[in-house]
Amino acid sequence: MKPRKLLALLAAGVALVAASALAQKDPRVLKFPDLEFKPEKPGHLRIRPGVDFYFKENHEQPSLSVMILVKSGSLLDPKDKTGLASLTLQLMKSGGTKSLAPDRLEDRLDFLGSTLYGAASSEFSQLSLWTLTKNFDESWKLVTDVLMNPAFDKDRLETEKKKEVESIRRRWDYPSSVGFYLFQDLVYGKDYPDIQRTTAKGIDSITREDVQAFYDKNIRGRELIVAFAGDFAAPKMADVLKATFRDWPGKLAAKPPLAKAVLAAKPGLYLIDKPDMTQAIICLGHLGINRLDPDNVEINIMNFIYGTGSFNSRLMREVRSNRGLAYATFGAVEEGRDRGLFVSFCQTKTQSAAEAIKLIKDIAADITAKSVSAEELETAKKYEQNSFVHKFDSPLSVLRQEISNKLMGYPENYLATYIPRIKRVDAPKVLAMAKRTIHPNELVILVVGKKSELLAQLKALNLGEITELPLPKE
Amino acid sequence: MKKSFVPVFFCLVLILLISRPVFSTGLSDKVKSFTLPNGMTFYVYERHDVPTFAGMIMVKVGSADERRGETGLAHFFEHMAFKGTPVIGTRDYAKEKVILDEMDKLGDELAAEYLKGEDADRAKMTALRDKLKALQEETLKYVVKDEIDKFYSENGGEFLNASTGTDTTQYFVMLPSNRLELWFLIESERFKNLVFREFYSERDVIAEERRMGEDNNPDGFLWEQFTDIAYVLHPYRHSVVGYMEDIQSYTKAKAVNFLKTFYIPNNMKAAVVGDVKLEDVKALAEKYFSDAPKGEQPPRPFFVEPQQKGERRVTVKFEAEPRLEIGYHAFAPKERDSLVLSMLASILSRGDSSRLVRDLVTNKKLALDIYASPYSHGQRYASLFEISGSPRFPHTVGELEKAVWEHLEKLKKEPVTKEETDKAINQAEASLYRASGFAQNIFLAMRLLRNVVIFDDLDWDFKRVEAMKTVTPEEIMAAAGKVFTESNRTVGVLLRKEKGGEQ
Repeated sequence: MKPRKLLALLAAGVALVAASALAQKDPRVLKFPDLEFKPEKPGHLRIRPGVDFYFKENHEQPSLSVMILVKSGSLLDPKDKTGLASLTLQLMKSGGTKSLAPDRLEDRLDFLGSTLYGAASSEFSQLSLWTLTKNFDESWKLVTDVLMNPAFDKDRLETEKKKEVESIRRRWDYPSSVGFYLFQDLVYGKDYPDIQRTTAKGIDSITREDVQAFYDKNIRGRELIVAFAGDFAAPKMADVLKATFRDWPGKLAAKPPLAKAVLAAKPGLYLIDKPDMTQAIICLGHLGINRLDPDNVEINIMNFIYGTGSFNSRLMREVRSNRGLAYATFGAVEEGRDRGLFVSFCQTKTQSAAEAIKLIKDIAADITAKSVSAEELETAKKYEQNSFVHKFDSPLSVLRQEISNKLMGYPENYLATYIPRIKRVDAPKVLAMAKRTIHPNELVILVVGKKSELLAQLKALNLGEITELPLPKE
Repeated sequence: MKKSFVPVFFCLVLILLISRPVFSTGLSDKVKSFTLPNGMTFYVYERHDVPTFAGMIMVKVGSADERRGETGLAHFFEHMAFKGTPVIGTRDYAKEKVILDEMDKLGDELAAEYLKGEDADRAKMTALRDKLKALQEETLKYVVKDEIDKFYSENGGEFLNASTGTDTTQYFVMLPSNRLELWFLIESERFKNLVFREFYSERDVIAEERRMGEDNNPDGFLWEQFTDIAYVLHPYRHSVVGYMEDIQSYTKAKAVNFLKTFYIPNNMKAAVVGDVKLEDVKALAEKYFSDAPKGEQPPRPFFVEPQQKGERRVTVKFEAEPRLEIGYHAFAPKERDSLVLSMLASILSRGDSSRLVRDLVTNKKLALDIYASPYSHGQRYASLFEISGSPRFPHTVGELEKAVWEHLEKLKKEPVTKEETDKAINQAEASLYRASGFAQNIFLAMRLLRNVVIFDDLDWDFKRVEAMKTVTPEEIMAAAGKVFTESNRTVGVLLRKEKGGEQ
């Protein structure tokens, strides 16, 4: 071998070593195939008409979670008694049963180390149980007793009512809640059924008879979804459920009418004076989309780029990373029963409120005016595609995916078509969606903070008249 | 032989059936671990149901390791660890570095001026800040912002974050399981070859974080003032985010020193939980972490909190409904009495049937909520036994405070019942398996790392429940007697401004 060649080889070798040392440090050299992942469906069995059993066994640990879900919620509250559904569900647990006084019921659950919660959202009510496998039998008896024979103890009703009234007093303790609640009021209008808040007067007026009536009408005998995740045997559990719900009629729940959402407030600037604050809360946006919008999957790509993609999103990049104006900021076009919200949020020091508003407005306008970059689009699509698997990463999440898709009314092939739909999104599609869902000239902008330091800078934004709103009592 | 086979077989089956709870003795049944020559230990929990895993690195450093004048440094550093390396986060590191070095000189000058306090030359400081800002802008020509997040997100990273506490700092992400090597590459590089980018501008972000969590949030506001008087010496005294004054004056030298002191392999432990194989984790750990040089064990100065000799009390004013914090200096975590107090906390406030919840929330309707915690600040050092609650209007914090004392007095005089201790044990046992701690890879990673980083024992939580079974009502009474004294008490109250003084 000639020396020169040897040298060349050596040099090449050195270069190779150097390249590999460097290569170790650069994530770009690592290439991974797309994960081939087909979402798993949980088991499903119709126990009887109106009682559906969803299940996902997993025996890794000796415990299980159970959800019992009824398709009626606070949208069925009488107008002057907002909070009735929630109180009913809480009281089902805390108010004892016909055979067990409230104290005894709590004593038993705590002694077993089991937890049971009752809660209502706007459309659904739910009892959730967690228990060790060895305590399942007794816990299950307690839960079904709570579901079928609640006693709604009078003193416990007083406790729950008083707690709720106290929570109302504390509603504005956190400035960000002021922003979120009152922004919704502006966008939907205070009377919009889906955003009703409890009032002290309404809660005070709720009687034991109201609770009993709500339960009789909307919970007892209604259609149920019963979901199990964890350490149990499905066939055996199906038998248990057949016995438990033998006489449960499973009738369809009453469906509250769908109220059309219309942007209630005039676009522009709204200010709530909270003189104690050193930061301003900014909520900016308008109405969002319907949950069955034909782009309800594709919109995630736009949202990622706009404001949900953490540091890859424009809001986080510009507001936080490039300008240090906030620790927390995000934004998205969200889906709702009729229309969700388009909302952008940030919490910034009082002095920089106007700067942040201008910036967020520009970011919102920009995404409706220009195509997103190829790089942004690629990051968003890869994220959606590769993180899809996490939606199914525990037995409980497998159940939740399936049940929530059913409840939201998504088509049967929603999960199967999710990734193909994501793959088809291109820059023109994002632009079209942005133009359709974000309207830079219709923005409602709510600022909560110290008026004396905000007013001048807000005026200088030249966004027209600034409407001052009082901080409502509740 | 044949005869005896059947009974033996049956016995085995029976034993298997009886001992069905999989982790009768703790996590060590399922967790495999190995240690690299440089002292970094990895813990692997394999489960192959879904092709994902969670990776977490826990560093034994938190705000408890900070000295006065540098509070918040552990948290600040956690932010820095997202800024990249000479390869990640830059287009041309050589050119960028020239500017970064210049910025450090200005930054040191600024910090020196700032620390002159009253005598500081304001005009000079403004000029320095402006120069830093201009240079920061200039780095943007070379910087690729937030690239760690980009790499992880494009690869399906979820839950990417880090958190700093009093005791530890942890970095975590969930990824599809075929991205294991990516996790190793990024996590090793971010600690081995960290570039302190945005060192000066990140202060603005942290200042906003502080304003959000401490200055405009009633809980954070009260908590900071409360702990500030509960301790006089121990670093549990200051908040994790640190004082604004300190945040504004870190120097690069301090931060680099911090990195070299604490971010060494023998002070870090890693957990990988999910659809991975031990051999793969081992091979990748060797490939990516074995060249991290072992360091001196970090200094752990022993701050002995002087014995409290009288009640301390602070009332803060904030535009929110009243809140109450009561704290008593308690025991070091390794003392048996610390375990005893854990049980006591459970008897006081765990579940609707617990003493405080049933009496004060449900029956007397004095409070909206009430909560007792056996270690308020952390578990590396002795902490406070804490009781926090919100009175229900028209009841006052004063009434709630007195009602709590009555319960504590009772504990000193009458033994708790057998039913109460049994219940506390059952609840503790149940919580070993509770969904959030187990089902999700990331929570399990967190839990097993806490066991080993803070307590040096993978089975710590399981053993603790076993040990609880030996606690007697008399011990609980004795511990209550030692701790719940007036002179050992700190009280923090939050009231609205217009209310003036104690109601």
